[in-house]
Amino acid sequence: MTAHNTDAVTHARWVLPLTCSAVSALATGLVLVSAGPVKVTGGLVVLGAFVSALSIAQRSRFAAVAPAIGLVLASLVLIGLGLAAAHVLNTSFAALAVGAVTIAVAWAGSRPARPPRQQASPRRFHLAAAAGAVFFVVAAAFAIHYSAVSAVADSEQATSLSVWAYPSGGQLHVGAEQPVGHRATSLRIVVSYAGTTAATWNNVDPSPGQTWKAPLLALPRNGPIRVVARHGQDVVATLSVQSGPVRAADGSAVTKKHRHPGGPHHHVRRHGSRSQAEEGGSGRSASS
Amino acid sequence: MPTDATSPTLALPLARAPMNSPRAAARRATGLALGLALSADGVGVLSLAAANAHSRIGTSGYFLFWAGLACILLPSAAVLLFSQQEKEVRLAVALGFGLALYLSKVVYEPTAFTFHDEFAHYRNAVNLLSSGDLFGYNPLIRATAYYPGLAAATDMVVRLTGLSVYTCGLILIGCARVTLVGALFLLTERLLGSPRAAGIAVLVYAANPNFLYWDAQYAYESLALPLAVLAIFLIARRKGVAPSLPATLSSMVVALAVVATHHVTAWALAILLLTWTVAALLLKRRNGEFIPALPALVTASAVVVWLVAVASITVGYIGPVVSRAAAQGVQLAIHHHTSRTLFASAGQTAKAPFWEDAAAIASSLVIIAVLPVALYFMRRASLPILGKLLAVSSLLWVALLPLRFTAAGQETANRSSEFAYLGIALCFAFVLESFLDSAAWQRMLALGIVVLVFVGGVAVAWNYPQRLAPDYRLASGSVAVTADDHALAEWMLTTLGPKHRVAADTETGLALGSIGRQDVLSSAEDNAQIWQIFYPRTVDSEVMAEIRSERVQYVVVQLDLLHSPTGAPRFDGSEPAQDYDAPLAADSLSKFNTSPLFHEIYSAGTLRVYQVASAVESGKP
Repeated sequence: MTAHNTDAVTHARWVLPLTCSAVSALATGLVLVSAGPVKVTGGLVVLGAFVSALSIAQRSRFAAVAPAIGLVLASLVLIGLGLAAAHVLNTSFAALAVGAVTIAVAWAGSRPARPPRQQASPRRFHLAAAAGAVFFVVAAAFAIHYSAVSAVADSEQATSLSVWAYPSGGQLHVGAEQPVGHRATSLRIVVSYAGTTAATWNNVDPSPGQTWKAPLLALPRNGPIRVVARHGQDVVATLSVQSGPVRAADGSAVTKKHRHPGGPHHHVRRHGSRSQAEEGGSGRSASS
Repeated sequence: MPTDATSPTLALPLARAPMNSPRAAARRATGLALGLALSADGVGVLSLAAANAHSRIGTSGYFLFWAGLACILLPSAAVLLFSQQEKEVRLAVALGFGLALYLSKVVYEPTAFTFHDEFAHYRNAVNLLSSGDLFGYNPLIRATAYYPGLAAATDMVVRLTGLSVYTCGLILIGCARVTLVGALFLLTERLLGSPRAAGIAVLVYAANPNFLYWDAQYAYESLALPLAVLAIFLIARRKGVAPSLPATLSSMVVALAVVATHHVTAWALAILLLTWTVAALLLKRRNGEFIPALPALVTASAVVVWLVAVASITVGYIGPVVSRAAAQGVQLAIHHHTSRTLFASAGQTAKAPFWEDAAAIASSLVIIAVLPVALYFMRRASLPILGKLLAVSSLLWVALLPLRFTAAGQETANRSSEFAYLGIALCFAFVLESFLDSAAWQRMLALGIVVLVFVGGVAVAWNYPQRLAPDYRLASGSVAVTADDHALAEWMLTTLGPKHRVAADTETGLALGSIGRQDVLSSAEDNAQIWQIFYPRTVDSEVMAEIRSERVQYVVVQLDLLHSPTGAPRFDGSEPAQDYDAPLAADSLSKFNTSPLFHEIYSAGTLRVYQVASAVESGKP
């Protein structure tokens, strides 16, 4: 091996882990101090650096990418469990842990690169392969975007006008929400205590996607409270509200603790209670 | 230095190759093959997106669905079966193929989780995100909370990127799909010593009925299974030589992640490693292969410790499913009593075209025909022990096939596919590769077999009426989680807060239990008998007794249930058949309107929310 090749090997041994470490450290810093798109970029770069750190030790780097991604997934599982068990699962510890492991792996996996072969030519992708890959990515992105727009439009048109009235803190909360994808609906909302009108709002017309909230009303001590919402002559909702504190059926406060039976015998899944999808794909039961 | 024209061809030297040299021609062929396969994958995904968009507006997307799958399958199969490309090119094509099929699930619903188990795992993720504590209560599928690997990984990505749980879930499962396809390809290549066989294995594995949707959903198995295949790949070697220490350690790290992520996958991995160890010990003198004792012991120990110390609930979760399957299997064997009609789904009226059923049966017959041939010849071949073990494991699929004729056993048979197909894929790869060096008709036969098995797998992958995205404007709240369910869940969470005890039907309960983070009643998780609240026509003592004993705070009524199909439970699995086999009476739902014990506080479309009156607490209804 010539002196030139020895230099190249030494250089290759240091440059990849060094680059990986620098990128990882920078991206970890971005995750810690930024928000929004910058944080998204930083987080994805940290994970990308982790994959790279696991791949650079391999001679066949393309074949190593899929296993490296799997190792990153396994590491995320174990790091996440470890942090959660130590009650320190937060952004700072998550970023620092992944960044530190990336740097450690990058240096642990570094080894002398093979000396460059005599007269080796630069390795290049064929244009058609690169174009195919780009087309795949663009088509996938467009398909997802197109599907998302289609799904959102369908969902918005399928959402109904909602009207509510509930007691909280000794006051009556009345509101309505008009979903996106519908024309504004003019409502007339009347609140009555024991048959006597307590408040009326005419021309309640929340814009699509907007929520209308009535001024808070004090709850009476006793007596039925009714809230009727009309659109023209049509009754849209007839709500009734309980005056007094909200309690669960067992008498505990609203934010009661739910039951957590300890033993598995409390949680035996009964016939037919499994997920629909488990039953053979999706839906209520299976296809073969 | 001269370079063989067939040496690694993803990146062939360019500068010194004359444009008309064999090397340049090979490079062009490589680029074109890869480029065309990836482009076809893109076209396929677009076609699938269009199919789902059609379905959302109430028109048929059937042709576009199959056209999209054809675009994804055929060019990739052609490259993987017929071309002379080397490992890297085949791997790239296989990865593109696997990712494109994953995207078919993404374009199904690209804005939210919609599959049943996704709701449960969403709840686990938000439980961990909101509290930082493991094993938070999950009323939808309680056992999932004791396998928090997916939630932990999701939490990490959410915290690193700031993206939503949904987006991070898509990224994670997409990465898991890349891992699965890559690890399977590389594992097969190591075991059979042929990149071409590895490509065939990927194509056949993708034919397993759970590949298209089930293992693409945001759920623990979708993450654990790829990791399990990776753990095996890391210690598998050609001719059974021992792996390096880093590889062994990596395998054990991955196996530990599997143990904390999914029960059945972890058990399957432990059993495979233990069997491999025993077989290697028994055959040690004869062939001196690597004995994976350390990975096997670590994995098996971790499985036992986790099951006993953390997730003992799993026994009660899996046990009844398996015992029912076994009981009906025995009935089938002894009395020839079938409890299920093939291709029929309770509560579903739409049926798949006949040709799909025929393809499903034909593909099963082909598998049954190929497996004995493969096993016979593999027995004589000089394959590593692991290869032979995986091949033999394919018989699990055959053994469980009769359970498809039983109502309780078909789930077990269906859910074993993703494991048994690892062996089936290996067997097909071993057999079909020998066809590819033969006459043209044999090569075409190999392609035809792969296509038939794939089509048969897709045909039974998902209930036919739900194979494409629903039109929410027409979707009944009795059979789907609707947009109103989503809106109600968000409203309850923001205005009333989380963790209220809510009685609701199955579909509405999914939204409330996940997006709304409410503690919905569940017969499977807390022995509640929700049907006793809803079926009576008046608010009688049984209704109030159930409400009191389950400490119900809110009752959510979905009026679409009045038009729900009969034959399937409406509220929970404990429902008596005579109730769900008959139409639901209007009084059963309107009784809450007329009772002073319930106050209607929310109204939207066909949804009503009733607050249980505090008078109930004193037992004076």
